[in-house]
Order: sequence, then C-alpha cells, then structure tokens
Amino acid sequence: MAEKFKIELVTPRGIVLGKMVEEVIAPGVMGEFGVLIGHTPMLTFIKPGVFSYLESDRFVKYVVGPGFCEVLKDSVMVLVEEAHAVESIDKAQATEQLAALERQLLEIDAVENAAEYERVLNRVKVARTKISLVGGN
Amino acid sequence: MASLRDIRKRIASVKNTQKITKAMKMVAAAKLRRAEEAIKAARPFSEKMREVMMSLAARTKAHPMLESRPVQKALLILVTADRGLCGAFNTNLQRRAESFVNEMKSRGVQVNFVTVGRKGNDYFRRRQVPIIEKFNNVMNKVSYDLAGQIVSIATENFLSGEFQEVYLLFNSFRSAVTQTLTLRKLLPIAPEEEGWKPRRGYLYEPSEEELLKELLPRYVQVQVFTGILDSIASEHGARMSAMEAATTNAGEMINKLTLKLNRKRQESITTELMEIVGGAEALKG
Repeated sequence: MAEKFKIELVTPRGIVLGKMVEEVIAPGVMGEFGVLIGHTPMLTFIKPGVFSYLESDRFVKYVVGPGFCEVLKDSVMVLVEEAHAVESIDKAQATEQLAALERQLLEIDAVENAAEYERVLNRVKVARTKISLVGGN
Repeated sequence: MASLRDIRKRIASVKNTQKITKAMKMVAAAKLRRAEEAIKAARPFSEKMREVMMSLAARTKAHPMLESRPVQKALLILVTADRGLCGAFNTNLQRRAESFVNEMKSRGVQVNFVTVGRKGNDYFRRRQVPIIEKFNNVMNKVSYDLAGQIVSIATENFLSGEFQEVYLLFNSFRSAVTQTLTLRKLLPIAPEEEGWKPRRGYLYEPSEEELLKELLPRYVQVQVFTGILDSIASEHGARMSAMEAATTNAGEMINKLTLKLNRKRQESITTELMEIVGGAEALKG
C-alpha cells in the first residue's frame, strides 16, 4: 500500500474534506495532474471539473469550481469556490440549476462585463460536470 | 398627576415592549448561531489563501495591484447593517468612517464610498461624501458572488487609476459580546509591510505572473466576503446584547411603575378612609 499524505479541500463555505489519502487527481489548467507523496512543491490553478482521491483502492469524486491548489511535500491544499461530493448531487436539481445559469449567462454582455461573464460561465461548467457525472440515471 | 388608570396603561405598554425586545433577542441569538458558523467555516479558506497569496506576491512584484502610487483619491468599502436596534454597532462604524475621511482629507486625499448595508448609505447620503455604489438590504442573502460584485467595482476603479487605495471598514467578530472595528487596506497589496517572505523551491504552473493575475482578484474577493460575514455575525451579536439590555431595562421600569401604582392605591384608600372617618365624626356632631 502506498504511503499516505494529507489532503484538504476548502471552500469559502467551509472545509469539505480533510483526510489522509494515497493519491489525488485534480483538474489543473494545464491538464489533469496526479499527485503522490513526495511531489515537488507546486502551485497551480484548478479549473472547473472533477477532483478525485484514492482511498483503499477506490476513487472518491468531487465536482469542483475554479480555484487553486498548493502541493507541498507531505500535504495538498485545494482551495476552490465550490465543491460537491458526487453522492450528494441530485440530477433534477442540477439540471434545473444549469438551465437557470445558462439563461443568466445569455443576459450578460461578454465584452463589457467580462469578469461577471466568466464567473457565471464557470458555474455553468460546474453544473454541466455534475450532470455528466451522475449521467445515465 | 398620573391617575391609577394611567399607570396601569403604562405598565401594560412597557410589558408589550418587553415582549418585543425579548423576542428580538431570541431571533438575534438564533441568527447569531448561524452567522457564527458561516464565518468560522469561511476563515480557513481566507487564511490559507492569504498565506499562499502573500508568499507569492512577495516573490513577484510585477502586478498593477501591488503597485503603490501617490494617493489623491481613496475608496472606502463600508460594511454596516441594514437595520438598526443593535446598540452602537452602526454608530461606531459611521464615526470611524467619518474620522477616516477627515484624516485622509488632512493629507489631501478625497475619499469615496461603496456602502454595503442600508445604514451606512442612509448616514452618508446626507453628508458631503460621494457614494459611487450602494448595496442595500443585502445582509440576509450574502453570497460569495455578492462579494465578487463589490470587488469588481473596487478593482476596476483601482486598475483604471481612478482610486489609488482601497480600504475595507467593518466590525470584526470576536465573540457574541465583543466586536472590533477593523480597517483594512485592500489595495494595493503590500506583502513586505506585513512581514511576508517568499517561499523557495517552488514550482509554479503556469508562470508566477499569470498565477498572480488570477489570484489577486480572488484574494480581494475572499477578504471582502469574510469581512461581510464577520459584520453579519457581529451585528447579530450586538443586537442580541442590545435587546438583552432593553429587556432588563423594561423589567426595571415595570418594577418601578408597579411600586408607584401600589403606593398610589394605598394612598387613595387612606384618603377614602379618612373621609369616611371625618364624615362620621361630623355626624356625631
């Protein structure tokens, strides 16, 4: 069994996750990356997508919003704007949310109000990832 | 001279007031608990972010948000409550904001406002202070996005050169009974002033500059967000103690009035007796 290290997933609404895991896979801006213990210290961005960690041979998944991730020798700190455990996602609710966000997105002028546009766009991406993950059922 | 009936009416009215203040206290206590949880949940994020941010900012200096420029105009984001009846909560903020304006004026700096919460806006609207944006009645639906809106106004104006400094003034939550007025400089960010040192042997992906460009606005947003959460928790704490005091005062007043009422009643009984006795004496002749 691989050695474990500490992972923390934090949002502005609280600490979502804090435990010892064997491996982490995060959606970085330069592509997905995996972290094992003893990784070079690193700081990078997280884009909206799926974040997962390996614990006793099983990957546990979270849908995360944009943020960043700090990797240290024996710990990983992920700071994102939102994070949802896959089990907690309700498909109907997510679909509804996505529709509302997409409507909101259409009303924003992408040129004049770029920051606002990007913020909503990111939330749309999160909602889409949620739905694609729950998928099929 | 108040009659018996008048005093009874007053007692009834004070009792009603006491009921209201007691209810308000209870509501504030319930809200305080929720607000306290929110701020406690938000703090780890904000502190961690600050740590990462500062160490990064200390390494790279090339970003307009880190640049100090000669100050002519400053922006103050004032976080107050939407409603009153919370003791000196709003008054303290207003007084501090006013002394800040005067202090800056003596250095030749003009201060503009962004008000969050109705009370701050009400107060400064009537004074000779320009308010460039107001957020009224937002305290019960505060979100991370709201902080984003406030911050984008601040950063846009800062980057365009309209304002050279941005400050945040709010009540910081210590405990249910203590709040501390906090004035924090949001922009420009000066890591050296606060004794932050760059970290070594660190890999940045993408480049440090790009990271900084993305991180800085978020950092400011988090600062404002936790500032507002702090303020909300403080507001409920302040309201709770104010209402507690009001309830106690009403109780005292009821006691005093009851005493007065009893004296008065005895007095009138005594007078009546005296009259009867006097009448009987007169009849005996």
